Amino acid sequence: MNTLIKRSQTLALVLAALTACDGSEPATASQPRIEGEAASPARLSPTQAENPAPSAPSQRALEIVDLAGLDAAHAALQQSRPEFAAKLAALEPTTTRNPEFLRFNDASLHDPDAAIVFAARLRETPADQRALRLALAEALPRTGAQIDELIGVLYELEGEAEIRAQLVAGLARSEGAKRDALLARALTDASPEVRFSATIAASRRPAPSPILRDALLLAISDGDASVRLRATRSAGALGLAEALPLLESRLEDADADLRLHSLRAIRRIDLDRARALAATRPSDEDPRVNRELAQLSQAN
Amino acid sequence: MLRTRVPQGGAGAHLLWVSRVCAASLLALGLTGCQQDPSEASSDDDTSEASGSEAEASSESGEAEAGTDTGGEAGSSEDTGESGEDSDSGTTGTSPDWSFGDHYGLPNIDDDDGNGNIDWFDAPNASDDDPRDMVIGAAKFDGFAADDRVRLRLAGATSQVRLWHGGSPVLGDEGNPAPLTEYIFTPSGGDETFTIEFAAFLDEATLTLEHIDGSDQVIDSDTLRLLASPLILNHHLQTAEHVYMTSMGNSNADMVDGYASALGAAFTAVPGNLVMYDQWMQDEPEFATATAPGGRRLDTVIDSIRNRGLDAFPEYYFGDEPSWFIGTWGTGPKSTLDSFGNLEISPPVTVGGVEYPFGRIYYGGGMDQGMVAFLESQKIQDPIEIDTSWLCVQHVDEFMTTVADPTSAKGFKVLFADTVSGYALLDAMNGSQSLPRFGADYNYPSVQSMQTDGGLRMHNDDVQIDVLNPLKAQLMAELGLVEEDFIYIPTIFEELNFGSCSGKSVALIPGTVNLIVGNLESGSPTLFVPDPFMRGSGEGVSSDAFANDFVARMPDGWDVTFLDNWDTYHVALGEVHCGTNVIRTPAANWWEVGLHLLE
Repeated sequence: MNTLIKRSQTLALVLAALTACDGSEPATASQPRIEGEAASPARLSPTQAENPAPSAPSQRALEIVDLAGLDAAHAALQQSRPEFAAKLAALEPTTTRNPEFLRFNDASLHDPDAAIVFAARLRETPADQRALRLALAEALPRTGAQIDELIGVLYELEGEAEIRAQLVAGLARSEGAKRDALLARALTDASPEVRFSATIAASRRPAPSPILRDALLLAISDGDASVRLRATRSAGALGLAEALPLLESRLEDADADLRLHSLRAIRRIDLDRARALAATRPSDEDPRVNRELAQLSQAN
Repeated sequence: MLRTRVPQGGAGAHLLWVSRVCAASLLALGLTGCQQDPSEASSDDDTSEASGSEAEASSESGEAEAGTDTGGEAGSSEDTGESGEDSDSGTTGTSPDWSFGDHYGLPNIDDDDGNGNIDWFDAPNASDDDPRDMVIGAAKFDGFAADDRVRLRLAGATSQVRLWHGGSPVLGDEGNPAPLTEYIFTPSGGDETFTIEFAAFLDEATLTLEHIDGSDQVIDSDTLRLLASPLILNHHLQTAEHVYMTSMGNSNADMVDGYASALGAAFTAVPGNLVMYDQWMQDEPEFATATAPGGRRLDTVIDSIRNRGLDAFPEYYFGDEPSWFIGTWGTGPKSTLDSFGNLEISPPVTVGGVEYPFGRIYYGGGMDQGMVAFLESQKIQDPIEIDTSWLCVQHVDEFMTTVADPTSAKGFKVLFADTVSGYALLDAMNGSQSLPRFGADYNYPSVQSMQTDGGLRMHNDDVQIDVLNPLKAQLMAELGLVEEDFIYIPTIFEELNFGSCSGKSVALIPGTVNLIVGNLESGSPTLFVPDPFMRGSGEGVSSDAFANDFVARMPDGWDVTFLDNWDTYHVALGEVHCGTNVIRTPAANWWEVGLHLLE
C-alpha cells in the first residue's frame, strides 16, 4: 500500500491514505508523532535489554532429528499437502541485485513446512548446482520453522563447506534449544569458512549458553585470522566478560585489526575497564586504534 | 532501429566512405560496439586502438595539436543565436573586424533520418538537426581585393570534425585516410555558410581563418575553437521529465500504482516480459545529455555492460527515436559495480575554488575501467571514486543521495545513512511492537528482538565508525561540503552471512535513503521512498516511527510517498531507487558555465 505524506511549508503533516488498508487517523499535529503514543515512548532499560522478557515463540518446531525423520516428514507432506509440496519443489530462486546472490522470494516460502521441502531438495540436488544449493540453505530460516534440529541433520551429512557455512548461518536467529550446541560444534569445523559463519551467527542472540561461550572463547585464538577477528568482535557483542584477559593480551598483537577490535570488544564488555586501559596505553602505530584510544580517554 | 554497430562493408562509394570512417569515429567515441577492422583507422587518428579510453585520447590529441591560441571570442553572438546559426561577430566599417567566436556543437551520432546509420556517416540532410552553421557574413569581406581569398586551416582532432561548404565536405574527415586540413575559397559576394559537425563527445579542433592576398600572404588571421559537447550526466536538482520502472505483475503492483497515481503520463511501467523480468531499472541504463546553442539536445542512454534483462530496454524505447544515442563503454569482465546504481552525480558544487556547475560524478571503486576512463574523459563532472566494498551489492545509492533544498546555502542537502540515529530511533520504540514483515524474512518478529541482537548492533556501530564516518569526511573534502549540508537518515544495516557477501552489509530496514527524487515541472515535488514497515499488520505508515522521522527530517516543500518495495526489491537486496530510472532536463549551458573545466 502507498500512503502519501504531504509536507507543507509549516511542517504540518497531512496524511492521505490511498488504500483501505490504512485504518489509522491522519496526524494533524505540527510535529510528527506516532499515533496513539506519547511523544517519548517508553524504552527498554539496559537490564531489560540483557534479559528480555520471554515472548511467545515465533518459530514452529519441526522435530526432525535424523535423515529418516526428514524423509518421513517429506513424504507425509507430499501426501497431506501435495500442491504445496509440488510448488516448493519446483520453485526457482531469483537473482538479486548482486548477480552472485540467488534468493528464493515467494509468499509460499513463509510456511514452516517449506523448510521440509527445501531440506529434501538440498539433499537431492547435486553438489555441482552450487548456487541453487546455497539458495536452498539460505531460505531455511525464512520459513518460520524452528530449524536447529533440521540444520543439525543436514550439517552432519553435508560435504561441501560452503553449504555447511550457509546452514550454520541459518542458526543465527533460531529459537531452538540445540542452536547453541550446534554453533559450538560449527566453531570447531575443519573449514575456516564454516567457523567464520558460526562466529557471526553466534553473536545474533543474547545470553549464549556456557557451551557456546566456551567455544567462542576458543575461537578468539583460532588459527585462521578471519575467524579470530570475528570471534573477537562477537565476544564483545555478547558481553563475554571471561574473554577480557585474552582480549587485553591482544592489544599487543602484531595485527592492527585485532588490536582495534579487541579494544572495542573490551569497551563493549566493560567500558570502565576500557577507559582505564586507554588512560595508560601509549599511542598505537595504527590511526584507527589511536582514534579509539582517544575517544575512550576523552570520556574519562 | 539505431545500433551502435555499423553495417559491414557494402557496395558503393557512400558505404565505402561509411565503413572507413566507422573505425575512427566509433573508436573515438570509445564505444565497444564497432565491428570494423581497427586497422582501417586513419593514420592521422590517434584512436587506432580499440579501447574505451580512446575518446579521452582523441580529445587530448585535439588539444595537443592545436598549439595555437584558440582564443576566439567565447560567448560571442554566434553562440547564443536562437536560430541555431552562427552570425559573424560584427564589422567595423571599412576595416572589418577579422575575429570569430568559438563554435560549439553536438556530436552527430544519432540517426535523425532513421536510415539505420549514425548521422555522422550521412551527408547533411533536412532531418539532421545536429550540425550547426557557422556563417561568415558578407561584411567580413568588405575591403577584399579582387584576388583576395580566405584560407581555412584545421588542426587538432581533424578526423573528428567535418566542415561542409556548398554541399561538399571541405575540411576534416571526408572519407579518405587523411583528413583535409586546408581549404581556400574566394568569397562569392554574399554570406559564406559552413556547416560543422562532430564525430564524438568533446571532440575538439582549432580552425584558423586567414584573409590572404593573391600571393598567399596573410593579411589577417584569427583562430577559433571548435568543440563538441561533453556527455553530461544528471543530478537530482534537474527537473524530472519521465520515470521508468519494470512491472513485475502482482509482486510490485503497489509500487507501480504509487508512481502512476503521482506521476500520471510522466510514468511508464515497462512490461516485465519485455525485459526478462529484470526489475533493476536503475542499473542497466544511465540517462545523460549533450547540448549545444540554439536549444540543441542529444539525449543519450549509457547502456551498461551489465547486460541483464533490461539490456533490451534502451533499444526498445529509444532506438527509433531521433535525437537519441545509445552507447556502451567498457569491455568487462562485468561485476555488480558496473550497475548504474553505483553511478551517481552530486548537485553543483565548488571544491577548492573550482566550480562544478554540473556537479561531480561519484561511483563505487571497481567499475569497469573503460567506463571510468570515458567518464573521466568528459572532464566536466570530474569523477570521485568511493569505497563501497563493505556492501554486498556495492552501490553508492545504498547509503546516500541528494535532494533540493532552496533554503540551504548550497541549494541541496545530502541524505546520508546514519546508524547512530538508526539505533536511537529503534531504541526509542516500544519493544513489544510487532514487526510481521521482519519476522517473516529476518526472524525479528518484534522491535525487542531487533533491539537485543548484540551482533547486529555491533555491526552497525562498526559500520558507522569504520565506513560511514570516513566516507562522509571524503565527501566533505571532494564535494566541498560542510556539516550543515548533511541530513542524517536513520539506517540499520544487516550483516550478511552468505558466500562472498559474508560480513558485508545491506539495508535491514528498507533503506529510506535509497529513494527517487520526483521533481517534475508541474505538480508537487515528491520523494518516492521505500516503506520501512517498522509497524504491525494493518497499521498504516502514519504510525511508523521511521517513516514519520524521515518526513520530519526532509526540507520543506517535499511531498513524501512511501512505496511498498518489500518483496520485489528489498528482499532482493535493493530498494525504490534501484528499481527506477528518470530522464531529466539539462539545467545549464556548458559553454557558458563549464568551459573552465574543459581547457
